[in-house]
Amino acid sequence: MITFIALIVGLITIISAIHALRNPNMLTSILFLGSMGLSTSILYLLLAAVDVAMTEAAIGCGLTVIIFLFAFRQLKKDRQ
Amino acid sequence: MRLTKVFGKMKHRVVLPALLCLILTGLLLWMWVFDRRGFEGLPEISRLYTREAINTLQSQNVITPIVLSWRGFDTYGEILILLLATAGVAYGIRTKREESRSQRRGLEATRIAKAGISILQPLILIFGAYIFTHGHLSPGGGFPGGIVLSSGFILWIITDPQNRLRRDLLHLLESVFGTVYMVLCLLGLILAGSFMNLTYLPAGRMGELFSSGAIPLIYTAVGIKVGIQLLQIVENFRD
Repeated sequence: MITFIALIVGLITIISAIHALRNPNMLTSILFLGSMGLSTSILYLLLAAVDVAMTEAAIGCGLTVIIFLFAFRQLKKDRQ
Repeated sequence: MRLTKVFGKMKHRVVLPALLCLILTGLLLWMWVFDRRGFEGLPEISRLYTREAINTLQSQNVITPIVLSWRGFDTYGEILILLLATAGVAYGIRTKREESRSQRRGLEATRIAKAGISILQPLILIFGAYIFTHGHLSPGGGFPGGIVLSSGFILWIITDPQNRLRRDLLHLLESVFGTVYMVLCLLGLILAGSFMNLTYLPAGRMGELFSSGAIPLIYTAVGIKVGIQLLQIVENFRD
């Protein structure tokens, strides 16, 4: 069962990583990066590394996305 | 925008090797996941750490004494790296945007988001404090606790562009808790005989909040310091 869950979560991670790189829309890219962080943290949880999973969920899915969104807004403002 | 165009051109040359690397990494991880051995199957050093963590510090979460005591220099280095990153961000961004900060404008959150955050924020702060004070009892510790703590304030920041943090207070708190961390480590040198030896406070009984020597105190200092550093990075990135 765990193998099955790990496979699905791993696939989600890979797909969102590819989308984060290749999506033409920057905002969607950032959101895909967040989903990649979340699914990576689930993988850490399955590897029984709860400490790392907590940190990854908070940084990879929360903090990085917020910082990128701030930077994205700044870029848009500068371009106008 | 330009980056995606570059990736579009280099499609096959980049994506195929990347996929190959991913599959190889996945196979390696796969071997680790399904190769769990018991206590006897561990290497000698891991067995020693596990035994010592339980015998000398009565720590329920065996990882914390390793991270803070035997490998304490790693944690110290991580905090220094974070400090350097914060200083770099502050230097790179502050010089340019100092004038525009006074007339800060941006989108305000809706009333629903504001009401929700006013309920959520205290709960998030309490949870963050719980994570780092219970670092020796349950998974977590200084870094995750600090990040959760700072995310509570970040939520408050993004609701209203007028909400401001007092930078001087942040700097003061950061330096105070950094000093506290260093003093707690030095106390080990004076009272217990070696730097970052945390046995100078009583080990107590396993499973109690006040146990495991000085680990709860050190994790509190580390948690608040990490939280404030991350908060400073986000505060600097705001326009």
